[in-house]
Amino acid sequence: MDPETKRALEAIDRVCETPIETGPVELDAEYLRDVARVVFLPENRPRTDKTWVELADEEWFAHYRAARRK
Amino acid sequence: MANPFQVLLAALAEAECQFLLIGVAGVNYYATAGSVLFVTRDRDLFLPSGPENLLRIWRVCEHQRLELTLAGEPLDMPRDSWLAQRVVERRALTHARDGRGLEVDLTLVMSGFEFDAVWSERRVFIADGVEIPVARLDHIVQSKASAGRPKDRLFLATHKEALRNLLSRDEGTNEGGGSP
Repeated sequence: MDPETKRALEAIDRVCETPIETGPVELDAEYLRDVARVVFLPENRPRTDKTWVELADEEWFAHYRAARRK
Repeated sequence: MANPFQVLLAALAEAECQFLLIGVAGVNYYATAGSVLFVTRDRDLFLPSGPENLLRIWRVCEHQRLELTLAGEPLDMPRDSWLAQRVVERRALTHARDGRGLEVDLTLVMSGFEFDAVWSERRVFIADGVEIPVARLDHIVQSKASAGRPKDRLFLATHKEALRNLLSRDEGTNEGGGSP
């Protein structure tokens, strides 16, 4: 195994061994303010047309479905 | 309208089913730019705790030829009020899929919230002519914070940064004399 691959695998092992934190998260005030601002942006008024959201999602998946290994 | 999710939501609305889009797919409806869109295949629909509503939703899914599963197994037959009542009592999650990429979780639980409270403050967006009732962004975010699973924590950290970048950019634009 080449040294670069070995280092990468060791890094993955270290991440896998790191305990994953779970449990409720306290959201900070700045994030909550940002969320509130986004809710009331003109682009998010009730009944805004958001067709582009689903189209973007579809395009993303279509792009990666078409990906082929070289 | 070819998008299978929109077709499903239109059929659910026609059958007078009650549901709310939550989760990352719900968050995406508040995006104002592609840079704050999150890639997800899962669509989470939050349902009220009524067996009749759940049963109507199952029937619409069957009509749309979606496969219904519960805990990884095909949903039992007959799919009647008795079964819907048992599922509601256990707050169990039903999964609907078309085998071609549409994955929908029919959930009776939104961590930290009751259906009526979220429903009363929902926002309706339109996609390809279909009304999409979406939980308020702050409700979705707070629910994810309450659940606190590793994937929620990862999402919250990423979303926080994406929003900050987006709003900072807008602030910069406005300072430069752009429209408010």
